[in-house]
Amino acid sequence: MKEEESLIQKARKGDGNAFGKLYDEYLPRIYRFIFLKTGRKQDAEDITHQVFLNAWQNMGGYKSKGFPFSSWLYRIASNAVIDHYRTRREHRDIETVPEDAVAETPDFENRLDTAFELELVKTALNRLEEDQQNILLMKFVDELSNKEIAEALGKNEGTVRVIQHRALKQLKKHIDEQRPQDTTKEA
Amino acid sequence: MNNDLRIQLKKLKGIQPDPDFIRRSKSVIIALHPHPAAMRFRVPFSLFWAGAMAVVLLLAVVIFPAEQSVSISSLNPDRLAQELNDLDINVQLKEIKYYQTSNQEIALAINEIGDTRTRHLNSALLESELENVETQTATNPEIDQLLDEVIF
Repeated sequence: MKEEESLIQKARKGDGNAFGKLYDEYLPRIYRFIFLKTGRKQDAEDITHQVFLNAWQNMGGYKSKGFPFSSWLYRIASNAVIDHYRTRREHRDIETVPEDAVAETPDFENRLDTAFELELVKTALNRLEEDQQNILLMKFVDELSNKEIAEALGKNEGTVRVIQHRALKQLKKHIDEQRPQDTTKEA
Repeated sequence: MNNDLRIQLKKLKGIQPDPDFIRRSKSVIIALHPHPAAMRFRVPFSLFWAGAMAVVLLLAVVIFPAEQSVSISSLNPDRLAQELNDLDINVQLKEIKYYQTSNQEIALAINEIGDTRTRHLNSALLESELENVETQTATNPEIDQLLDEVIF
């Protein structure tokens, strides 16, 4: 944490190398957050680039206020996604989950099952409300604390907990709706 | 139920950005100028002031000599005389052109007047046209009546 604070201070003074290290640290999770919200690799790359560019150009105005740097980045990312949908209202079909996401599973059948399950989750996530999506992704994919999520989204922790509870219920419902009926049982 | 979902959600962590994208995006961002706020604090005030003065001097060197040369060239007597001569020539040329065209028109008019064969001045033609004019037929009897009252 102290090392990160040092990098932030250097980056605030215009140190490109320091910002580069922060970039390496946070890029994967910001990209993942944006990808799961947009559903398109190209859009996710464009928005992620814009988020870090904005961060670099506004580092001088960044104040930690006791919250991690990631909360600030998530806030920029969340606003960038909203702007993206504001300017491009057309609905995009969700791409399939990248192969990397299922690369850890050993055999082909398991990989297919896992990819199918992940696709279900991703599609169901995209049907949730904006805040519900954000909170589930931050909490369970990127493992942010409720305090960090609250800071990133400009809400209090109690509200975050309530939305999180509702979001999980809603997600389960959407997944069940999408999941095909088990025909083997009927036979 | 929720635990299963949480496990599924955690699996989404496997989504990773393309390494080529990371390399390109990072190099572009870092190559750009650092954020303006940082630059503002990094430049000492004295250096900023010296820079401002240098810009003012540079502008003075660029702008004022140009204005001076314009004013001197516009007041140069030789140049003015040349412009005046050019003006006279232009006026004379216009006058010559006018006289040329007007002389032709006058000559044509005189010829036409002197030519008795000209169709619209031919006396025989005029007489024949007079016959066709019905001078006795009044278009407005009241006018004739008024004229009679005035004359007689």
